[in-house]
Amino acid sequence: MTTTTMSHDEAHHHGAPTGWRRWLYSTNHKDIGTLYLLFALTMLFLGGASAMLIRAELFQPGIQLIDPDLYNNLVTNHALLMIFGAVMPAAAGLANWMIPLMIGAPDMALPRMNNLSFWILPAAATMLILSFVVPFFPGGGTQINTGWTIYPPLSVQVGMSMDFLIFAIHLLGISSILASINIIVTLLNMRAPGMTLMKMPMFCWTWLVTAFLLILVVPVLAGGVTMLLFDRHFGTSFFDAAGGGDPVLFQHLFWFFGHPEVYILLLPSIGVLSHVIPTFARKPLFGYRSMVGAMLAVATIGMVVWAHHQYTIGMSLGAVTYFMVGTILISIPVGLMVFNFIATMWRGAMTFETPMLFAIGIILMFTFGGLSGVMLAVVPADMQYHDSMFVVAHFHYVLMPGAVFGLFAGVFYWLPKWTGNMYNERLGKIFFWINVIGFNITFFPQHFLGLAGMPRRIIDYNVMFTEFNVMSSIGAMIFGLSHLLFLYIVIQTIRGGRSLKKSENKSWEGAKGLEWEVGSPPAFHTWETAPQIK
Amino acid sequence: MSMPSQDDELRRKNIRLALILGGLALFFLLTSFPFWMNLFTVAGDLSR
Amino acid sequence: MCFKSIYTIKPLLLILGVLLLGTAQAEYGINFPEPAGKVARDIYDIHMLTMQIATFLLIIVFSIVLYSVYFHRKSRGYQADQNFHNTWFGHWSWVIVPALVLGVDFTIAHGANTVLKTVWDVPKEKDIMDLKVTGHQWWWEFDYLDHGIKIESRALTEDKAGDLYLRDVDNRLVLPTGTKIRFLHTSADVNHAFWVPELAFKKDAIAGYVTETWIEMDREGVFRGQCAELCGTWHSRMPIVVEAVSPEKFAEWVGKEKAVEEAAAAEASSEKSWSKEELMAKGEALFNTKCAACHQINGTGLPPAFPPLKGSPIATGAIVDHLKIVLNGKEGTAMQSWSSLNDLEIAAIITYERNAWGNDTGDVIQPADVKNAR
Repeated sequence: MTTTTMSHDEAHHHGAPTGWRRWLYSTNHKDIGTLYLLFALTMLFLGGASAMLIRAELFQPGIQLIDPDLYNNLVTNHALLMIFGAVMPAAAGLANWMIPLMIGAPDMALPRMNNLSFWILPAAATMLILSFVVPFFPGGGTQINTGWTIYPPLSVQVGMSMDFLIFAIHLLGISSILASINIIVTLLNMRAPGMTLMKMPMFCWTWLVTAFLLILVVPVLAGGVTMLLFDRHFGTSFFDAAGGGDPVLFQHLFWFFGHPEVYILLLPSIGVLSHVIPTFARKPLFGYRSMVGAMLAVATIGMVVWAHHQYTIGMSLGAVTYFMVGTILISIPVGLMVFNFIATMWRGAMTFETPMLFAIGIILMFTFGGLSGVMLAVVPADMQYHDSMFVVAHFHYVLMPGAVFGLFAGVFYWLPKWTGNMYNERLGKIFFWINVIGFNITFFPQHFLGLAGMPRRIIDYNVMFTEFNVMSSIGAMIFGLSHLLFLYIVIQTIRGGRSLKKSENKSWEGAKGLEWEVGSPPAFHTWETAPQIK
Repeated sequence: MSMPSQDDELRRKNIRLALILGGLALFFLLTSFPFWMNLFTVAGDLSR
Repeated sequence: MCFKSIYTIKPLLLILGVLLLGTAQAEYGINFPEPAGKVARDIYDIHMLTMQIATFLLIIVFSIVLYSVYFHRKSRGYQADQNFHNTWFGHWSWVIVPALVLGVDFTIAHGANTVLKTVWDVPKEKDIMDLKVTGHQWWWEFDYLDHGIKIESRALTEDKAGDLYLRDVDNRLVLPTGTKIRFLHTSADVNHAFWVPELAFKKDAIAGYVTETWIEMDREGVFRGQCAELCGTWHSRMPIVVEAVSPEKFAEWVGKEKAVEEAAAAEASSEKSWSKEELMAKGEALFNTKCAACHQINGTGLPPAFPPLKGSPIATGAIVDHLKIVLNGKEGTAMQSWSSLNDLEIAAIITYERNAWGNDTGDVIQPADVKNAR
């Protein structure tokens, strides 16, 4: 199928540069991918710590550990750190590492811009963390008590930390737009000769769609928060009803970004699954074409159903009917994707290494989250569910398996490729079980809390909600701490050593694709001569 | 630092596509909301 | 290998067992409480319908996946069927599956649409009772537009509410059964949302908007709910208690409330000059219900969000500025305008604030002073 790569002109490149310059000035897709992944891991722990603090506070009724504004600030930061800090950079990290290897390209199309789009991130993260820290200093104003949705007029009341947050969002947005442009250009211009779009590996397809979604919706968020900034400081009244503005306009702008964002988080992990399941079922992906079609359908419909996040704002009957039907229709392409995954497993010869365990977990739990999503799409019923703990349970069931577990699966799947060492399979499986069980203990009881009448984002609750909150908090501690094991496994694999097996070029028996033809770990430069695809 | 060199034609093609996509993002930034309209209203109010 | 995999499923079964046990105990509350009206019952039914469909689909997916996981494994010597995607099923599943899902979708959407119409279309009858609900940071104001009564509803403190803390208020929202009631939601500051699960609807209260919902309650009882849209620091302390009573009892209650309000109005408009002790006593009671949520009972506030009044430049400085901030509020903060209070109430509060907690300015503000400042 392909030819192997050999460096033909040693004088021309010198292998990996050393020291800090290697990372700060890096234009190498593998190094930048590694940077993205390490950054995401750091943010995962920060976001996780804030989540554990939230659950610790909710362990018992009453206000024990933190004051209400700090609680709301943690709620805000948990969401932003996880979405913009952990999941999106991790997905971008996988894209940087794997896309050039998968399509037989020597590097990303715009290597210097690649460097820029990563190095904006630490600056943005600093800004984001400052928005959390600033209120602790004298004169720092009030804490951000709005949640990540930063709805005005509440967000206009907040002190200067909101301005830090707005600029952090701008920087994060610029970073992801640059990364998306780079990925689209790479995928469209840099494929190996003979690799048509419909022969492209599925992970590349998912990222192509994701990148387009990002380019279309992130600017709208940037616009929305800019208007918020103007309202706060320059006397405009975009969102101030008293000045002729419209507070609901912000909600529309936010969710026009916010809903496609869900698919931005989800699709790269769907891409990972499309590689993991065929590998461990030892048979090709079922329905490649319908998969591509379903993905395009999800992206298209997903762009036009944002208002199902705001059923309660008092829209007209016609508008809510449209948004309800549109939202329910998304179940068709998503259902097709899940079906294709199950059909890939069906009559395969499965083995259950850690990535496959995560994949099966995703299929089961994501289906669960998807079905509670259909329930939420029904407008009259949503008038009950809206802004209750039921919603919290629902979106964690979608985003945890759908996005984060997919990334875990990807990391375990490609870690041998990146490091040249097989990770400790036994520990990997233990991590999976603790993680999944902790996750379910945390979020399953929250469905009942929501139905019984507990709103989300409250620091203190009536004693009638105690039992399930205790359960959920205990689960959250197990779930949160289990990630230390993940950290240990990753560090152990990177360090290697005699206890770990070395990985062959093809780390998994059933693996297929160009990325398994380069070395494990791959040379600093790969595919300098493009392979021929038949 | 050391970068595999791209041939000039591919390089031009890449940059052109990147600029088109950047333009698309900018277009969305400027058109998808009544930003300028309101800004002009405010500017009008200030000058009066 | 086979044995081992069953072993690993054990923890999952354990959780399932715990959860089933949990669901057996009704007092935990695992589903919506019993609806209190026709609209609410329709909503409850569509909730149960979609949940049952979802559960059914979930069981199907789980069974297929678990069957496949058990039988199609390499350790059982199963050979992968490399041509599965080339069978007729493989070729046509992209039509079959969406068609099936579409069928399910239509079932749900059709049922939902019927309910949606009754929920969304507020009856246009003339004799419908109008209730204006205004969300404030952090209390509710209920205006009985047809009866000319206004109720302020605030959370009770923990020592007064006991086990109902965060679910109990000082003044309940009393409503008649068997009467169509239209709720008009709006907000005085940030977004709030009115949610009482028994009434089964939730609508956002947005400043500058009036959103509508309606219900006709068919059973008496006390129904408890909470604000559902994050509205700042004390979002958790905005309970709602609806007391549904028979129309006769409601009329009686309206009469009583009117008498109380008239007496208060008469007292406030009398030209009487109030002594400092009287104003201080009134002021303390009013401050503790209306102001203490932010500025705290001991006047220390919760800086930086809520500034202290104890020794503050406003409460010990010029009376004019003090009156101005109470009457007009402070823009861009949670401090709202209190001009809806009557002259006597404001005079009492300001007198209290200027003399309590060691702010001993000795100032006594009379209702007439407030009237002049308006």
